[in-house]
Amino acid sequence: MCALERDPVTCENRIGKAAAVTTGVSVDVVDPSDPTTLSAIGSPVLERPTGTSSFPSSRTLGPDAISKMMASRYVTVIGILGDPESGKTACLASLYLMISNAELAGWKFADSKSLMAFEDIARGSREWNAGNPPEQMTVHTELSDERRPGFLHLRLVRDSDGRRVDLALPDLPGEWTTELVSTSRTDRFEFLRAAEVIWVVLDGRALENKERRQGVISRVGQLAGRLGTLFSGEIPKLMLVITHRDSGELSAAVTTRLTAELAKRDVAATVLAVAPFSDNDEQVKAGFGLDELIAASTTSDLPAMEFWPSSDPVEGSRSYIGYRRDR
Amino acid sequence: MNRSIVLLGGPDSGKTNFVGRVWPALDAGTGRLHAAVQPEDIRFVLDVADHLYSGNFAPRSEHADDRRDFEVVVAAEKGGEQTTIVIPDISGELWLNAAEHGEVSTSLMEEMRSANGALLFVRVNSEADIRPLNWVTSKQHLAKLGNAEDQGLPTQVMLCELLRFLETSLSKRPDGQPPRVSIVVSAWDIIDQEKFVMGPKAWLEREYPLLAGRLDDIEGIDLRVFGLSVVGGDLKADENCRDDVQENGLDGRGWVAVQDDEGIWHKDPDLTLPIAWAVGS
Repeated sequence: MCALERDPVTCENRIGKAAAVTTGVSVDVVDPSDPTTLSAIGSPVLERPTGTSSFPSSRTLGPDAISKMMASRYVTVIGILGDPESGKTACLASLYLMISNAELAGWKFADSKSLMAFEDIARGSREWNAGNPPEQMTVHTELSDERRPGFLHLRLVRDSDGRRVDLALPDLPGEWTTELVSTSRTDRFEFLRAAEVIWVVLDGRALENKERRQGVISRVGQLAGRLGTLFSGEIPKLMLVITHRDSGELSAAVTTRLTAELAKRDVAATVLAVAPFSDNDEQVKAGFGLDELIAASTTSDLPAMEFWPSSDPVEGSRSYIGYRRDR
Repeated sequence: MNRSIVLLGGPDSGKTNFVGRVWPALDAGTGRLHAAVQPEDIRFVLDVADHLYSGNFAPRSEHADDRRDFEVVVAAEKGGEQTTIVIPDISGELWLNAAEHGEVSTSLMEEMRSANGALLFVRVNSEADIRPLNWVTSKQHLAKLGNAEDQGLPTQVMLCELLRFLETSLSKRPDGQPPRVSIVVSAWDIIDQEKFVMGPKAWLEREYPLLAGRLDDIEGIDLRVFGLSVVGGDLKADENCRDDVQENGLDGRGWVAVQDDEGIWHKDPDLTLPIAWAVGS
């Protein structure tokens, strides 16, 4: 019986019945008294497939994989939010291109546990299922023919001091952000609680368009409200990432309006303009602003503290005897 | 004792020519390793060596399922401990497929798991080299314009994936130390003196920044980078080199670029060094 419910006689993969097939006789009506037929009973009818073994995948990682990684090293989780077409994917693709071409100023690549996912995103070989994006994060298995929500991992080394920074960057459909704003659907954003920084990616062209501008700004305010609820008022460092810098510089008035909208909810944010890709490469190079974005995302807001301040010895100060005498 | 090491590298990375050249080097017995006994089956290495003797590099293995193993018993010193080295020569196309799909045949996986050393090849100016994506092409891909040519997996991504495979599969050495991987930059004779002085690692940093980054970050594997010239010149472009090989054979030709304790790169005529280091001699 064929698993595909086809006639076994026509199966090109079937072995051991060649004679019956060539004579056009159905396998069901061959003579049972024929000793050759009897000897074939129980023998394999299909060729054994070549066995393959898989290595651990380097496509998107599930929250469990990130948690495991966080148990062994410090990982900076960056929440990336933004409506569809705002430029989230472009930011991730361009960041990868900058690293793979050694053009991210101040940083070098060290490792990525999701290198193939980055490569797939930059090659546009996967896209969200149009109109029906995935509902949940990748958990364990990833199908190679489908783009699944999940984390991208990147370990970078800072040129200035050799510090290694592990970043977990979520690759999520824009519809998730839209639903978070419009219907307060927060269940899929539990991972944000571990985020140190949140990028809200906005389409710079929409902000420069008079008809669309106020709508976008209003939604940013609503998003800040949702985040305030999600974090019970303690929102991590918020960065408004304005894409399409190559189309023009964001006017100061728009930046002021954005900051004012956030201020209504006592939220402050850093505004950064980026150009993941550029139609105006002579004025604004592709990848513009991404180095600054990474630097700002990996720098603590807390004032730098010198763990063990050094001081020059003063002759005759008798430091050893005087140690802690003032306490 | 039986040890196996794995030779990896994409298409046109120099694996086959190295195996063909290293046999005469092992047989000559002048290097760190020498052949303790003449192997039973040396057809593969003789075929490759014949190409070299005729003044040509061996052509690329064209079929993904082409596989020829070379097994040889080596020893570091006469009468010393003998080690059987199995060097599977697996086509670059197969390794490229493995990197793209994240899987290999079960038998190869078993061999990788039982090996505790490897040689990863990358060739200077390889015809099969695929550069990383640029913004123009990526934008076309993302916009689904349909006119973007899919070049395939960039070489540096393939090499990073192969290194990751080694990291997850190689066994520790018998003394409990991490497995060793020699990164072999072949056709190192093509580069100019200025780049030679900087060494193959610096070349990798410039050409394959992702791979170079991984080399500095990898844990659980001991790595060493070598430059390699199997015949000491370019048989295609250098007529003198070709004539000399045809007239006088391969003895004394070829070298490995190694870094000494003071950080200076120099040519060592011992072509067995990348294997000797990987097996731990």
